[in-house]
Amino acid sequence: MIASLRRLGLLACALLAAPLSLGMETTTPRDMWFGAVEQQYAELSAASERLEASAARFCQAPDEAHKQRLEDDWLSAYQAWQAVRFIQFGPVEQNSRGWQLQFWPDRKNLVGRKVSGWLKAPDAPDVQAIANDSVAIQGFPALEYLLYDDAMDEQVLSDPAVCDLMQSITTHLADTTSALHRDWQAFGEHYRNTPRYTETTLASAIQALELLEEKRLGDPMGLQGTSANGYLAEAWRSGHSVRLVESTLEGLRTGFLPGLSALLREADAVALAEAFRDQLNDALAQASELQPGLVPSLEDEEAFRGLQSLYLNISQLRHLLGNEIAAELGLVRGFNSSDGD
Amino acid sequence: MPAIMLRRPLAGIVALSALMPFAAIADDAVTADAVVHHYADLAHANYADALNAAEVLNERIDELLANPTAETLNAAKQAWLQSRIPYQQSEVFRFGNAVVDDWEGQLNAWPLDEGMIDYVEGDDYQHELGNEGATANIIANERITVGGETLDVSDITPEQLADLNEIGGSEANVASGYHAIEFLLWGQDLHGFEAGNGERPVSDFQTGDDCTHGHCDRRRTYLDAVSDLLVDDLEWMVAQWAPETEGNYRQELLAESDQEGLRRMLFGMGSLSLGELAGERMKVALEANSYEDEHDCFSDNTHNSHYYNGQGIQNIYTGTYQRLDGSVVEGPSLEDLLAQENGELADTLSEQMEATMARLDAIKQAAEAESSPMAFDMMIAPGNEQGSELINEAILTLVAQTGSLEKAAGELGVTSLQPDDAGHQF
Repeated sequence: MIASLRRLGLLACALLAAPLSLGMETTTPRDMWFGAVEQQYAELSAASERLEASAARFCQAPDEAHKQRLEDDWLSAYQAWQAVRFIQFGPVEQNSRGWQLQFWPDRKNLVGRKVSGWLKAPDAPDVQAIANDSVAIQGFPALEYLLYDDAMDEQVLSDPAVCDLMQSITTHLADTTSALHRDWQAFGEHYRNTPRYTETTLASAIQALELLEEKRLGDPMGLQGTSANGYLAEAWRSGHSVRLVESTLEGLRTGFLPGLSALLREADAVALAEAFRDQLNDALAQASELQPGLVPSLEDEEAFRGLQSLYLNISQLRHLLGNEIAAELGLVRGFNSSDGD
Repeated sequence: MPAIMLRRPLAGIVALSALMPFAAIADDAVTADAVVHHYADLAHANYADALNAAEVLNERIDELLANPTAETLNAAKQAWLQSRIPYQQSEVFRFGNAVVDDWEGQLNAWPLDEGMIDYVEGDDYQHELGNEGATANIIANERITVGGETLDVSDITPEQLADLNEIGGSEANVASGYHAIEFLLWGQDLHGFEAGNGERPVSDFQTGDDCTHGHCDRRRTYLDAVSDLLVDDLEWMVAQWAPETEGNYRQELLAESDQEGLRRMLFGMGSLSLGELAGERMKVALEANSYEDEHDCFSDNTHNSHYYNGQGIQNIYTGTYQRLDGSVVEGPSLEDLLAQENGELADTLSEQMEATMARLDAIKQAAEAESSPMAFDMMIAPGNEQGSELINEAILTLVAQTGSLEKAAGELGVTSLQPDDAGHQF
């Protein structure tokens, strides 16, 4: 309750803040990126509040309909995060918010250990206890464990202690995404007025595509020098790995492509913008044809070929942005947090 | 390339020539070529020390196996701790030089699923999800089955252990290297966030009826083989950096352009600073409160591993390496070269690296304090504000120096800070 009031207060502040640069005569690529991302963070925040409300409703009346609604709201909030995950700088860097929403990769099952640890505790944690604990307990994967893990066959989700844990996590998540949205709005002026953020935004999108290619698909599929391992996929517990990939691609289409196209028009390189758009649409079309999970496709040759096609589409997309477009725009990339092994 | 490098320094030389005799200036001017040559000298000295320390470790292990007592076990542990001092400094050579990166997995792979090597206590053992080799226990079994394949491991030899790395396609299947030896000397750390590290009894290496936890003969053979392999591997790397050796990596590196040499130096420094040390080794462990992500988790020597990583980065910048015998290797440095281009940036980077070392030293001092020491796995416990502040301060200084390394690259004409992407391009 306290957390929700805090959010209302923040919302009021946000409304007082200057709106988008609608009055400006020219719209720069950074203006376009800022506005599109603002909408994506707004949607993430709204979807997280729906998830929070849905968890509360389920805990009051734990029936099948409410359970289904809870699962749907969990997935749509998780997808809203995937859509804006290509922004890896700015307010999302504060307090490791990206990891708060999704601690991944999680090779050693830290999410499972942290959730099962709280399930064994005498008292469920409140929101503050979740805020003070590991990022592995704070995000969508922890909720996925509660909703889908095999171990939950022995625990009843509607059990008050389990429900309290779930609600503390969903409230914390709603607080985090609300703050993220507000902080992005406050970040806007600095972002729009600072030219180097053009390079930062491009580099961030390239990094997101590299992550998609190498870690989110390549590693679990066994295409990065080690063998296939479905546990390395995101959302393996719920079987939604491919849907999350699709949401990231969709987020690039709505959040990144318009600004990129404007930038390439300025650079007199419209053909590259069109090539990126077409390649992104191909990847999206391929993703939408696949089944939601990644793991079943590891065992099924035909399904695996479909996944390989998606992987190749994304490789080409990454190559286009990271090599051809970056070279055209003279982008010099520095170090990033995923250097190392 | 060298001509381009000299164009801007010339302006400085002209200005200075009014104040100094010309000959002195010509002697003092540092070239990129000299800096890259000295970088290879630093690598050679550093790996030679790592080899010497590994040879001492190997001797102590032989003494432990000849006469397993608390004293000989402790002497072997001390030798392992000592061997980490040069090796962790050498990690700055890893990311820029594929010859190191492709080789180092056999020596320093981490984190590992130690249940592949020896017994573990089930309740507190969290291995990589989906890793079939995670509980193979080579010491207890002459045959192991991983990924549907049955392997004969009746003979434990250095070659066999090298082949067993990453069996079943998982990077967590680490059969050799420093951390495998660390696990064999210390054992699992079952203390979580509390004080204390692994408590393997020396009787695990005794023979006959005194043997504990079974299969002592195979455990002894394993420890002997794995320490021999470490020495062999380091001998190979020393040879790669040795002067005047036909066809070794040093020759290959020095045949590249100066720009490429500088790129490899800077890429190694920045990648270790940011992605590896600040990110993988500190921030993940801290933000996730995960002692599974502690670097030297069996011995609780993580503070030193981090400290000497930082020292290695500073070594390359200052062109200085203090050898284990106390002597100092010095020569033309990146700092000198950068100062010719941009004195202010050179000073800033120097101060930032000093700050990093001060923060890493604060972690080391806290972990080694006489009274109530706080090891790294205690610092990362949920709610430990003092611990998280110590680690966060070090992360921030590492991030700051990485920013300046990027600027330094720009000043020195290094336009790409990407790794070699052989095999990863579409």
